[in-house]
Amino acid sequence: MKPEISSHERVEFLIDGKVASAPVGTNLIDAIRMNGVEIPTLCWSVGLEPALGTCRVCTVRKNGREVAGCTVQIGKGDVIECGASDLRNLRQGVTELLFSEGNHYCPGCEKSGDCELQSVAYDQGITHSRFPYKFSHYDLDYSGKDLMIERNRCIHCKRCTDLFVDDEGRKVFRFMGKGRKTVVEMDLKLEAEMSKHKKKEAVAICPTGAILFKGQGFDRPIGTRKSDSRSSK
Amino acid sequence: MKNRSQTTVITATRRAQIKSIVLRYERDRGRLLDILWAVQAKPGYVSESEGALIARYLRISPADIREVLSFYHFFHEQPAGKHQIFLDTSIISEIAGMPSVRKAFENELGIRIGEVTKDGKFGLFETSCIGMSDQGPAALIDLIPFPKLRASAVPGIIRKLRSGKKAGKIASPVVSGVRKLGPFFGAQEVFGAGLSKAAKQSPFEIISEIKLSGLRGRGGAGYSTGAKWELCANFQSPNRYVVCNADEGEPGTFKDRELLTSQADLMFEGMSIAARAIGAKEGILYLRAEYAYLQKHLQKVLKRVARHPSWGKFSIRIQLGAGAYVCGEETALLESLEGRRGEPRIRPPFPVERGYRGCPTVVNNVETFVLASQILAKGAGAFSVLGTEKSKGTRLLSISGDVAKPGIYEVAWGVSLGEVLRLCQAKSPEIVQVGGPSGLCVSANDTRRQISFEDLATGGSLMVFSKRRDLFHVLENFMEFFVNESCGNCTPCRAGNVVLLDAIKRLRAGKPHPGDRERIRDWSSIISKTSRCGLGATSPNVLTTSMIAFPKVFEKVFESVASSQIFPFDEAAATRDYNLAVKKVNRPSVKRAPR
Ligand code: SF4
Ligand code: SF4
Ligand code: FES
Ligand code: FES
Repeated sequence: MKPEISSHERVEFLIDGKVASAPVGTNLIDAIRMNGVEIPTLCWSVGLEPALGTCRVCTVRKNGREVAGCTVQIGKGDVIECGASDLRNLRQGVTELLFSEGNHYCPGCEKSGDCELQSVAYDQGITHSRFPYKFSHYDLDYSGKDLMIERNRCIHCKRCTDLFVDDEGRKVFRFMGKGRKTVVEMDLKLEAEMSKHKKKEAVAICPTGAILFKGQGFDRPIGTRKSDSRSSK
Repeated sequence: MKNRSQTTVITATRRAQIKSIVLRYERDRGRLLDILWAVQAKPGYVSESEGALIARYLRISPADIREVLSFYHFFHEQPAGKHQIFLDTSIISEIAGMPSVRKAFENELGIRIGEVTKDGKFGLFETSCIGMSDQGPAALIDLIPFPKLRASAVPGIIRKLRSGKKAGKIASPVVSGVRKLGPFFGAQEVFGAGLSKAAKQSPFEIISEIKLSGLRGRGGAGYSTGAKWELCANFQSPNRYVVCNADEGEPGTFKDRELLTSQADLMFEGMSIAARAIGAKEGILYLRAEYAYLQKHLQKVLKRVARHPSWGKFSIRIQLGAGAYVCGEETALLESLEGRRGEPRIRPPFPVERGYRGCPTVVNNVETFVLASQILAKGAGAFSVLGTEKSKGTRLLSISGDVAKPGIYEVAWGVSLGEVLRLCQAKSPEIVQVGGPSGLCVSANDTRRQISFEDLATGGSLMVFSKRRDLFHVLENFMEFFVNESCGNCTPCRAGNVVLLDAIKRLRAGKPHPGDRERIRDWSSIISKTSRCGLGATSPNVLTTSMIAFPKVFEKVFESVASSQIFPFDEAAATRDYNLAVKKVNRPSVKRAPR
């Protein structure tokens, strides 16, 4: 078991050769951001713990090895690399993979402007995916009482399956199948019983436009949304 | 995607039966795999309402049950036939004649792969390597292996099954794959010597002996076994576990099948020694479902060896897997052991710190435990004199493919590729795949390369392909395997392997896209460097290493299209409008940090 450490203790480490510091035990991405360097994240976000480590868009190099930054903690004397061009290429490549795997037609998407995937893509300057688009067929599940699942936009981050439970603490979303056939499913019975408040939470936890309220379209004019033309960070 | 099965009414008897199954496992969610096996046993599948019932008894959500059911090859959510036939689709099985066997089954049953006959008697499916590459093509019928299948035998098999005969009574026996055994796996090894010696030693002494021998894990990664045990022993915890990984899933390997058949006592002995070294009272043998036919035999051996006076306070249970290659990854295996989807965990923490049920756990594979027992019996010195600087001792190779003598060979590490090819009497070899699909592809002409952690590391699989074989066929089979076996958890592995598979299909068809040559390297590096577990980290290896080993084969395809660029793409022109728009809205206040 880990020894108790006071959270005031700080450790020093290097980011791209520059000395940086953060409280001991800080999530690596958090530690990097505290020092003014931005790294994209999709499955992880401050406060969403434990880290899921599914999207891999936060890849950096720690002591010479590529890691998903959100899955590790900063350690004393760590040598962190973020800005090297090969690392940017890896992170951008992973984001592009998500775009070629799903079907993301942002202009027609309810989440457009508030979507974390879109925002990360903007930040990375992505204009198109280097991977051939798959144009795979995904079923849209409209059978919920209030919520729907638009699988074309699911990035399989697992936030809904692993970090979300209903008012009674039960799991509502699940992964079905495996590999490329993995899809998110919603427990219809539990969804029907969920409070409105919880439903809002479910929509909010999804970083993309995959979990949505039925019958609700665009609720804010373009230009006023989180990331219409710049990073949402 | 599987369709939701119809909600059916469960009879009172069935209800009581399911309840008693759940109670038998003490309502323990961690035993979900056992529960699902037991519930599935009779009808051959677990319906949605039955799943919901199990969930109720276990006090978990039905979602938890369906997640697990849909993850494993051998679990079914809808009727899958009274008799379930799984054909081995490994490349070795394919070149040994599976295509004609497959056709024979389809014709005889009047269904295609993935379907069930109208009368509900037969379900026909495919699965990855079932550990029979030395006697393929093979299939599992009701989890009984049918080695050396011929198309002509298929009608007879189906007829006998229809007439009510059990699969076990029809199949011809699995024969021993042993060709050549050396100093550590030969017939002279007897159970108990290592154990008696360990009983007189302190945990520290046992660990020192193992460390001194230089033994490295035989599962593939090659971590020092002694160091692993020591780390585990040093973490404070009231409970510790020893887990034996018998999920031999790497296509082309079958040596653990042999060890489980003929040297299970030594494997259990190794587990018991490990338990003494780290202070564990419980052990688990995770047996892949493909080897379910060995379960009874293993139980018997276990009962016998546990009577040894030096056995100590240590119990072992056998956990049956349910078909998922990724469960060979130790943290995925632990997830599976705890009754969940076999998705690899985030590491650190490593299993030696937090493993089975959160306790420090040693996970080693079958061969490693057998060797541990022998090192104790014969002394570290006898082991470390063999092999090379960084690869001590001997190891078992499972050799298959275009060779006159496929089978299991015990060789000292450092043996040259040329020597190996001579031993198995390779027939005009051209391509050698060392370490299975996740390993490395080399040319058979590189006879001086050596089998060792320093050069060609291998978890034991060695496949040989002759000049007659098409490299792209091999590559496609391997990549298809990864696509099917990816757990689907992380982006690069789930989506990236599909991209590579598409690229290989283009190459095989002689129609690569312009730029594929450079792009394949770029894509491979993205996948291998960003994947979450070993599966995605190694899946592109075969592609990148074969490009190095057989540059001419690739050149030929790339050049054939170089002159006929199909669709020229002007990126600057295509994105002009976008770039203009971005320029307009771009505000200087937005600082661009490293992305
Ligand atoms: S989910 Fe995000 S990236 Fe996908 S279409 Fe909607 S806005 Fe675009
Ligand atoms: S539905 Fe949304 S939250 Fe759930 S896995 Fe997909 S993208 Fe993530
Ligand atoms: S944000 Fe780190 S893996 Fe997704
Ligand atoms: S196998 Fe699960 S992420 Fe690769």
